[in-house]
Amino acid sequence: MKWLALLGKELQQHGAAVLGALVLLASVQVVTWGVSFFENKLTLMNTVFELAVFPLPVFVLFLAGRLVVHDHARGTHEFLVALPIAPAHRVLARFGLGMAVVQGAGLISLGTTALLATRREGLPLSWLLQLFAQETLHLWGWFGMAFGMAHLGRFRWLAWWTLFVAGISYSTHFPDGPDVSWFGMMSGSVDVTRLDPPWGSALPAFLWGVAGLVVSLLLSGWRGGILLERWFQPITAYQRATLLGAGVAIMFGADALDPLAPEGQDTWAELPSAPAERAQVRVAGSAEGPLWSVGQRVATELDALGAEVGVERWRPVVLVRDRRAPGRPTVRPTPDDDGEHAVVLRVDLDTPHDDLVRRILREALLHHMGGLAAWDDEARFVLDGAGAWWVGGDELALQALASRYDGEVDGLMSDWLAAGLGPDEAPALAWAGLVSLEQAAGREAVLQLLREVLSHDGDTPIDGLSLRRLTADGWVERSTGAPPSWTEGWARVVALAHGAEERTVAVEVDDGQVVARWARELPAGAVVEWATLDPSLLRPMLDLETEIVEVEPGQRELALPGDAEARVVARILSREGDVLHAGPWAGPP
Amino acid sequence: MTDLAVRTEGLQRAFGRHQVIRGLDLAVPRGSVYGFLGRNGAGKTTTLRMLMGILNPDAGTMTLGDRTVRRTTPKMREDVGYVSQQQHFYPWMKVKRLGSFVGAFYKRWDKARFLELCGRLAIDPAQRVGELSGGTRMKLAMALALAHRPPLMVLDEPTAGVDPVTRREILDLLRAMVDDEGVTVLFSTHQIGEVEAIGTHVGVLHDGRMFWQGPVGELGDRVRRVSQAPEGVTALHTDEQGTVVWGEPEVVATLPDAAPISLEEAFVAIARQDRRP
Repeated sequence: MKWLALLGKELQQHGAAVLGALVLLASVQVVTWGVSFFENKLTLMNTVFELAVFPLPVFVLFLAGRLVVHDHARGTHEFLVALPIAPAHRVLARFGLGMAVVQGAGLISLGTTALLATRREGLPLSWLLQLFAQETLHLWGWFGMAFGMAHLGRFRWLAWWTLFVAGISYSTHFPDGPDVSWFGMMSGSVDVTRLDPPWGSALPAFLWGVAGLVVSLLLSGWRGGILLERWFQPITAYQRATLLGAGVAIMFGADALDPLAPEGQDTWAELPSAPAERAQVRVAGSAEGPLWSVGQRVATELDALGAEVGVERWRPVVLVRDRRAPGRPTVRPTPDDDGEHAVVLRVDLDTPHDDLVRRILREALLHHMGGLAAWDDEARFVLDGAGAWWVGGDELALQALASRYDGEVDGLMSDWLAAGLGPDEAPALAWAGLVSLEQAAGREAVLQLLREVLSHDGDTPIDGLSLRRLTADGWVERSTGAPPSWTEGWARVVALAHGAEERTVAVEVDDGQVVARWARELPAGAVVEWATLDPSLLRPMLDLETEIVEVEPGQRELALPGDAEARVVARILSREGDVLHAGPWAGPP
Repeated sequence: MTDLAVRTEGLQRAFGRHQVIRGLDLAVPRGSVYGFLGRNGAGKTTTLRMLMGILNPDAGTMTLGDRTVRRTTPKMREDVGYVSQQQHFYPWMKVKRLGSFVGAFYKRWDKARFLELCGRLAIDPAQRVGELSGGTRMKLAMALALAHRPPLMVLDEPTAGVDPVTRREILDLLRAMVDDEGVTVLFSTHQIGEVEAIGTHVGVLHDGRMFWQGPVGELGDRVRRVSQAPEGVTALHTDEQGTVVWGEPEVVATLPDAAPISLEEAFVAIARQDRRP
């Protein structure tokens, strides 16, 4: 009865303010979801960390302070202490209620985020339980500390500062020492902590929370709480503003100091690695998930290919689960990847397994070439086809190619480049070319070609390795042993590829209206994708914001609502089942 | 069972370097209405807060009922009805809800009695505490303190700052509780009239010590105004009207040209004295 009365009183006393703060927290959570979704981060669960690392501790400080000082500030403390209640009961009721609210907020944050993420990411229950334990301990440590500190009254600032300085000194003098902070359970990123949970911080976090509670009990009971009464000092509006300003300054200051920070191990280096000798394929996900089997297969293939073409160590590849979207490649490198250490590939797991492996291999090979391949279309072209050639038949690519060439894919080889073809057709063409080269000159010829491309050190222009020029100069013949007939076939394919322009969409401006036109009837399910191109871009980039328009059977043109003064580009996406094959982009002349 | 409801021995309390209570010996007879007199800042509130366990004494012991302790425990508070000097209740609570909240901590809480006391003191149980006037809040404090039928009431200046009507209501209620239920009342005040009106005993706190305590009538018998203080009595205070002296009743009564003075004059003389008798 006493407990219920105390809890009811605390709840009623602080309910409105706490509810307001919780609504604010919820809105922060929703914003972080939106940002995470928009930026397509590795996992939506990172938002749980984002909330737990800064907004939740701020809420904890607010709540703990309010629970401790509110009765003092309003003069109701004496009324309460004159009742037959032990000081410990008052402290424990406040601590219990505050802890329940904080843990409840954390649990709701974790639970709702998990519900949103489960469908997209397939979160294993074991990981969720681990995150729950991490967050519970993290918040226990935070609330215990904040509650204890709030009992120090005017000395709380000194105490926080002392802890802050002590923490910095400790980490400076013992950089490899155990993390003894109360927030160690969630101090790393979600990618690191889920794979290597900082269980060593569990005991410190728990003990900090207990220490805070013990301090609260001691100060509330010591000589009738005289110290608490004597040290009581409410926070003023000026102090609140100063704290807020200091917080913002620290946030920006920390950003400014980032470049000065010693470089540590990259985050991806903590991800689980598929066992391989020459490859480093890591998976941003559980070792139980479907991405793991893809990663293992890629590692195996890269190992074998490396042995054949003489690559001792491939550059690291990180696989991240992606969500499907119309026109979006099923495997794509992250736009913000600096390419310094690893290529982060977003993978649509709804795509057939073999197809994923081919495309991942292609990106891995391109990445291995560093910036050279990215800037040289022809090297890219060879590597585009290499993955498919190595893994084997690429039915989707063949379908895309067939829809473009009416099935005339035999002996195709072209220097028609990825920029001119669609993202599905170009690799298919390249693959077909390598297949034809293999048929003409043998497997070793293709491997030799790959060796030449992959061993290019950048001292000579990459164009020197151009498949087209090498063919014309007879280099491929000499290097790979391909017969002259292959060169002739190659030339025919190039001509055919160039002659296929009537199959693409044309974008024109008629009387101020942007119109997309195509020469022949599109297959059922085909759509037109269009976008307004930034004037600074030479051609559409990977993350271009586009719009998809359905096309009626028999339709040959489509009015686009784009600005006639701007550069409007369009392309046709043909549909095979659930998969859309993207054609080349076209714009006004 | 002793005949004292409250007793302190050698009670001491300092705030920093300022010694407020310097060995106080308080003795409140059971069933008495004990007026605890003293100037502002004399330590009355500090003494009552120590009795209630809100403050801890630096030294000395306290006896409440049959238990002698160095510090009053929460359990002991269940037998005491306490009314503090200022009434800071939760303004968002309604009177009835406040009664339920307070009642949860007392085993003998009588909800019907609380509502009856509210009715008797004209307090609307449906009203929010924040909307009550200062006088009504004091009456509410009385109702809260009496609803669990405590054998001892400790009141810290219960009539300070209230209008004469409310003051009369509070004093009448106290008198009724004493007469009907035999409650012991210990109340601090510097209103001599209140002590004369309802008090049976009085204690005068001076310089952190008990100057004198006993039946109210005896205080008047121990003090006289004389033109010059003779041997055998203590001169408390001298002014142009003469000297106020203090002594045993039989000695004081035999003094030549001694004039009786009011309790208020006696209190003023005690409060103004420079040394203890």
